[in-house]
Amino acid sequence: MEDKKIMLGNEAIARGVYEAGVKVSSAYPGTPSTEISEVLAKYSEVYTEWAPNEKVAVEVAAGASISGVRSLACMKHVGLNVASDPLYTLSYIGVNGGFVLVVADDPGIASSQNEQDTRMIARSAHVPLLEPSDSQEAKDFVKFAYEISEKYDTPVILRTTTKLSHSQSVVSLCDRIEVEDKVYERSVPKHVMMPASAIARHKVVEAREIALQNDCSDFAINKVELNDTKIGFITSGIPYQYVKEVCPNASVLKLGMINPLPKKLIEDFVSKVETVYVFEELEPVIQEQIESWGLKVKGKELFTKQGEYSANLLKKVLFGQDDVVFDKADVPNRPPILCPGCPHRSVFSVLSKLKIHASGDIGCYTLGAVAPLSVIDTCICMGASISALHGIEKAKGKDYIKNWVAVIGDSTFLHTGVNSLINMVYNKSTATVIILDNRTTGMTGHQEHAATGKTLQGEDTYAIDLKQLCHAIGVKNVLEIDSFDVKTMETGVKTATQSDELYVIIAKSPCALLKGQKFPFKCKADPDKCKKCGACLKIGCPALTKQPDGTIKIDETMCNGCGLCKNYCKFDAIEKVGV
Amino acid sequence: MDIMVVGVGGQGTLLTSRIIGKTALDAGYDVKLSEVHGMAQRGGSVVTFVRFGDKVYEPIAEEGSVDVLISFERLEALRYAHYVKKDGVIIINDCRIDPMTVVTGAKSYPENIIEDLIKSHKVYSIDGLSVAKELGNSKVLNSVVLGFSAKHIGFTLEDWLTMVEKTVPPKTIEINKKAFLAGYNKYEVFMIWNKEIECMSREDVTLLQSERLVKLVDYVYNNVEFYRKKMDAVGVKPSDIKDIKDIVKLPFTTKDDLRDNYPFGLFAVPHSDIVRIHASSGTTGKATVVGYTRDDLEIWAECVARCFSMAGVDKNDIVQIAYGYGLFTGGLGAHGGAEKIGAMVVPMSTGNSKKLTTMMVDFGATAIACTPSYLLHISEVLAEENLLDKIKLKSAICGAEPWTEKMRKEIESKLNIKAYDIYGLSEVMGPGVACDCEYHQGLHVCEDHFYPEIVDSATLQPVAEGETGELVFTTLTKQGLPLIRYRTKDLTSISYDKCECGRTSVRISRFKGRSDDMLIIRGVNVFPSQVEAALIDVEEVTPHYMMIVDRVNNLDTLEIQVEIDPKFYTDEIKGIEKLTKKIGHVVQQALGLSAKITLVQPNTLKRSEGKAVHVTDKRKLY
Repeated sequence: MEDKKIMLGNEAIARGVYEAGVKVSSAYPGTPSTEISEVLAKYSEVYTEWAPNEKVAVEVAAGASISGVRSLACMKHVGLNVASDPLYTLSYIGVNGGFVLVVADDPGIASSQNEQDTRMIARSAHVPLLEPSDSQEAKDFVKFAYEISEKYDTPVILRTTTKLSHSQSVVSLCDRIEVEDKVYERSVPKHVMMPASAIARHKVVEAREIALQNDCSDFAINKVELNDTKIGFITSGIPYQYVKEVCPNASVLKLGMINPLPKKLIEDFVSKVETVYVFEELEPVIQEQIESWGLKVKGKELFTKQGEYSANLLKKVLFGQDDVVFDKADVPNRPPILCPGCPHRSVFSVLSKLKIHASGDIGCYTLGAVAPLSVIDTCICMGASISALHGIEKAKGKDYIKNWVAVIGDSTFLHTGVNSLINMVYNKSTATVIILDNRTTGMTGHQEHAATGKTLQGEDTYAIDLKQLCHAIGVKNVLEIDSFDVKTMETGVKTATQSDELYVIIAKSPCALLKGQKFPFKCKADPDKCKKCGACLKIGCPALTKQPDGTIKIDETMCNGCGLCKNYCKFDAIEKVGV
Repeated sequence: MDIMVVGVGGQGTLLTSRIIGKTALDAGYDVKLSEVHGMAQRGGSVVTFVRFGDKVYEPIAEEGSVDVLISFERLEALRYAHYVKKDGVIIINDCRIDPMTVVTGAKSYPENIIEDLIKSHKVYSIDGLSVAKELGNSKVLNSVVLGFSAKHIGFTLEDWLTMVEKTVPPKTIEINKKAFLAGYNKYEVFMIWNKEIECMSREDVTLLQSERLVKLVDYVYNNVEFYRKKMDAVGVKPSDIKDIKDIVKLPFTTKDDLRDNYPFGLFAVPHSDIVRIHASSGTTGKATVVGYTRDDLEIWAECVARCFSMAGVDKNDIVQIAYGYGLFTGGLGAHGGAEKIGAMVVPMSTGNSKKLTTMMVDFGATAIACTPSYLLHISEVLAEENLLDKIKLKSAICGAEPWTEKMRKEIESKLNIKAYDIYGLSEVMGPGVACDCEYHQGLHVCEDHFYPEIVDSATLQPVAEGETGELVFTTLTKQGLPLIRYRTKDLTSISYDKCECGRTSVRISRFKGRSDDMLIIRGVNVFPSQVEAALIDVEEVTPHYMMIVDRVNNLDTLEIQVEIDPKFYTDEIKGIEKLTKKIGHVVQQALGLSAKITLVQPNTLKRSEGKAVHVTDKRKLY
């Protein structure tokens, strides 16, 4: 019993990394990959860090690998876009110590800006990709990935999806293998990718892929379950579980390696089974390759390219019916919202009042897009708020952006926003950038970053001073304003937007969910004084509800006593009281 | 088993599902959990799944497959109700959090969510926040809700508490355990069998009662000659009865009316529609006979099911019915309700305490229905046999005789169980007319079937709410033997306040006595006049007698002292023995109850100056 635990997919990956003898890990948080680093940080044998972005993380891990130790970088799918620059070339360089990238895809878009498919990137970068289907496999596949990495001299991607990363299943634990460091040898043809080396390495990459394709039909992670040969599935990852749930007697070719595909094994399976379905979420990566070999399978013509799959979806397609007995109720949606006491809300209330457009970014503050705050106009990717606003100004002129700002979180600013701000300084922007500095990486669950003064392990370190950083790159006007000081914020935003100079406003106040935050106050509404004007409801705080008689009630369990609603009550009907 | 935990981001759904998952793992199951992290956690609608079994494949449960849906908020329960399978259970933490679309006025928050869900699903709700606040920490809400849900999921209480201890932050172990237990124990209170009826608004109940009374009066007038004559005699026509308030216009019915029409005179249906007869003892050898149609039995079972649910009995329970089976309504009546709930029913009947205690231990019985005095006796048998720590009993449904709060405490502490008071009388139906819930603030009456009134037993005028008087019942739905304003002779008062358990049904207080001299001895109704009538047939004795009722070792005893007629006085032992036997036999015949007969010398029993005193009841039951 002792060695069996129920673990999140991400916890199991971290455990696998630990057991594989990995020594260095670098990552930037991103749902659904964040917990891997957080769990890994608890194993003192593995050096684990938060990097400012995924590109940096992959390069750190690459350096560690070249030096001869096993290393890891993890990120969410869109993080791999940031890191794809080093990835494509690292495919040429190969590894010294084993090198694995864990990339977490988000089919269904639980917490992302798109649902791109990492399997396609692995194909184009010619990097092997493994995909586990439960926590036990997640751990086992990580260890196998290091073996392949070292045997075939290649970085390996372990792809997970939200459902795998954030579901728990039973895992048997093993001890850590201490892997001896590989010897580092200087090698310009292998490590210095200038044209001469790269041309030679490209050939190596192709040969490696062919070798892998031949060998992987014998890998234990590609598994044939031959049962009823009338119907069969080629599948991998979490969709495998849906197949087992719905058709326990069907034949299944469960792929553990998606790139390259085990051609021999697939050909053999298709020849033995009458009707073969390829059951894969998102893009027809497996299906199209199989069809390109002239084999007949069914897939995306029946199953969608969008969202997460389910057993019921498979049932509906195969049998024309699912298990639903009750109709789905038509009820108001409950999209995520800014928390009670969130400092972003306070800043947004000012922007909303001043009718200012905001070029947005990736983080909790994206939630400011929805009613009633309705201040965010765009959300593209990490750091894009600043550069996109710069583009708007260059396209339409400086007067056009007098009612525009860029809003970006502290962690996102350090991720890639700072480059965009350098561009603004360099190219004479007159824009206003608001850094929503809540002292953490909020949306992913409160990770430290380069400006918090703490490392991933919680050790003290130098905290980058955002104001000094802005000054250093040439921003003359930097205002630091308490996020909850709505009066100063209003003046500051007016000054900054009306000015013909570049302004950075650092809105400072810690995230309401940060550990150790104290909430000495609660807000209370006095129904006798309430004039039912609804002004307080415009800030969109979930603790406030309108009662049947039109007066306001503040939920005492939700209220964090930030007092923002009190600021917007003209009738003194809201009181901030100590608790 | 598929469990789904839903709520609003930040309510603690994640921790709840993790505790369930780990408990299942420790119990030896394969387990999968699916969680929500990231943006969706920020005040949005959140869903987690826990699945366990011998082998689990997918980590999520599908629409139509969920056994237990635990929702931390009303709207979220409604949103995900379609995930529940046909006989699945929904557990709702009764709270409202408005989504932003409601706050902004774009959408409105659905009304009557729980009431609507009850129509199609099995729903249990709890105000977890109030419970958590009572414990002094609103943050333990999720432990309260988990405790409340635990019995639907399975595992032992010990398993759960161990896991709570292992999972929550060390500083909060004690408070979380307390919270879990508070929720766990609340379960019994909130286990409402027929929430639609038992929690109906006063307005709707009155409407329903009015509608039923109008039908009933028409029905008895046309089908029972006795009622037609009685109504004609006072000049009331069925058309005079328009709603429940008009009930006061109707004449009363008494036990004598039933005797006078022995055996089937008051039946409203032909014999072919009667499927069962019960009878209670009566004077001069004539019993009070009651008849039930198939529908009557169905309603009876429904009422008993409500009562047993108040006592926390559900389909997972093993229930020993230790009331007498036979003509007495106790055994078969309780039996039908327990079966309806789906419990495993053990029809013990009375009379063999050894067998009862053995099976209680061997079967792992979790509930027992019997008279309170018999249960006290059983507790002594268990103690003698050293079986007290081997029983799994958790509740007792006691009735068929008056008992006191003191006896309840004694039963509860001796057996470490909860004891509930069930009430009924064969003329009206049998057990299940009313029962008390865990708050013990009076007995909830199944008033959609039995309309209660309290009247002054002398003037027969209604008394005010809360005042003591005689309880009168009108059977609103009975077909076989409908009764109009039947005088129970039981003294009690009535309350229409909503009970803490959530039921709105009217409650009668614990009984304060009787307006006649009826005694209930070992569950049998005994009138002194029955003894008198029996003794008249024995020529060797005078009509002077004294009944001494007592409780020895928790069993009722009846001693009848009888004066021998001087003519037959003898000191010959053989003669005395013979006479004692003869009287004993006659009394047994008349009462359906054995009594110890003591012959006394002529002129030794105290003569009373006013009304003859024939009873000394040492039990002090009221």
